[in-house]
Amino acid sequence: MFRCVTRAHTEGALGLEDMVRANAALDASARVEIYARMYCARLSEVLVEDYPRVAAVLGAEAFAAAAHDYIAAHPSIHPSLRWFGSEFAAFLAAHPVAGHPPYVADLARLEWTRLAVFDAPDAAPLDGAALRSMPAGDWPTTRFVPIPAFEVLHGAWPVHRIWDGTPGSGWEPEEVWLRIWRQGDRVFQAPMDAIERRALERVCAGDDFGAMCFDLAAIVDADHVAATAGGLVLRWIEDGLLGRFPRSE
Amino acid sequence: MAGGLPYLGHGVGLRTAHFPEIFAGTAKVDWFEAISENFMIRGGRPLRALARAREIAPVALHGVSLSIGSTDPLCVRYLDDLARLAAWIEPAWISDHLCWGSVGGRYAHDLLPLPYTEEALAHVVERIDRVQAVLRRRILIENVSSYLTYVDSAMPEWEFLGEVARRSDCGILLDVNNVYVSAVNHGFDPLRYLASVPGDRIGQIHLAGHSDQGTHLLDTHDAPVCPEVWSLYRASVERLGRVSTSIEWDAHIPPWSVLIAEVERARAVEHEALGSDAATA
Repeated sequence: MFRCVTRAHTEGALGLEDMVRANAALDASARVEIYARMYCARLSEVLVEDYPRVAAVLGAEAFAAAAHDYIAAHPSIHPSLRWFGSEFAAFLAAHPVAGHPPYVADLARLEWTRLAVFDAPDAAPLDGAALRSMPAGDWPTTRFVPIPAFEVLHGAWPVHRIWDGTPGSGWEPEEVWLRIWRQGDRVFQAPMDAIERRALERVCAGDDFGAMCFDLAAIVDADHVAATAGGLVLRWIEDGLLGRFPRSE
Repeated sequence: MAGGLPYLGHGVGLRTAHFPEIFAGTAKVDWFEAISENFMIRGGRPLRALARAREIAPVALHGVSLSIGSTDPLCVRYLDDLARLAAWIEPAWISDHLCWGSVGGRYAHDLLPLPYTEEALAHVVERIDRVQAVLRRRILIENVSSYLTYVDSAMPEWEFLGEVARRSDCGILLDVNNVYVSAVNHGFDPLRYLASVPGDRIGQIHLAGHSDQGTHLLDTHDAPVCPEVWSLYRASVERLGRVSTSIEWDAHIPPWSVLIAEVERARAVEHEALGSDAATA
């Protein structure tokens, strides 16, 4: 029946009349159609909930059309609706529609990444006190670790500005690196310059502070490397982006 | 009851709209029913809300994607996630629906009705056996609202549901609103349904609102419980005695105070139906 329901949605074809009882109120195809309509409506609702800013940018009609095509192309393969929209950003990128803003796929990627951060595993953040009590000699060999609710996103459009209320009209392409993280229950995002991006890459790769400084020396004046790297670490701690040090064995 | 399950009183579905009351500790209710799939995640606010709710009152887990009637293999990953969630939250019980929802690995995210045949019965019973073995507990199976029935069905839904419960030794979650919606849509007597399901298997009752689409009723959970369903609830309580009852409200979700007013109405109906027996049953 499900195949018929999905076909009813995508092709307008029904095939259950011989299986389904009719009565005076509704014939068999009308009964199947109830499920077909609910199938499409439910999945469309999920996309609107997961991608509210894409929906706002596209407008109701264009978003509904994109959702319709996505539903047909990507049937849900997970028991939870949480994952139904996982390919929507890639779908929008692969199926650009005339009149859609060119940044809409990047915006969808950011919304999906924020969702991933929203329900990522909890972890206690590193607090400044732990750092202040650390002997200065320990800094070079200290490894900082991001919390699980943290992602880096690379895009071609400054879509994060939409959260600041900036309209997207008239934008030019602009390479953007964002760090996205959760502090408490709230999801935050911030653009990174080349220095912060490179430093955070080293942290994510498992380098210690000394190795991070060594790497940054390629793009930061040698006299300022340690202060620059230390400042970044302090900023990340203030943001709640770094997790507690693992307990020593 | 009802298969040895405790009587928890009158509860509500745990919904995001009421998380502020949960965190504030002002969500006073006998128990919560949490949608299992909403909490099969790794962290963040929803899990914190569920943990807080569990501190306030007992929690039952109610699934929508077990797809017990599907011909797809049971989803091992889903069952693992459910077992993990249950081990953490220690629910009063776990329930899901008498339906199917996937085919060929594709999910409809709907509660699609089954044909009520001996073949389907054997299939569902065998799968419930396996689910109960994985979860190491009896589960409750709920009757769904339906908008179609099958030419091949050989028995009424209440007989099928009763046989599923008897053969698999599971409990029943009796959704009184679903009985009413299906009764109107298919033209059977809801009182006959209520009188025919095995009372000793019923561990929980659902109440909810629905919408009238003209040609049929739709189980939308977006409105107060209607008078006809309140009457059926009273008839259910008169027959069954006290059964843990929860209000489902999933769309156009009202303020906590409105939801609780429905809970208190259910409590009052139970009291009226049982009189002084309610306190001693």
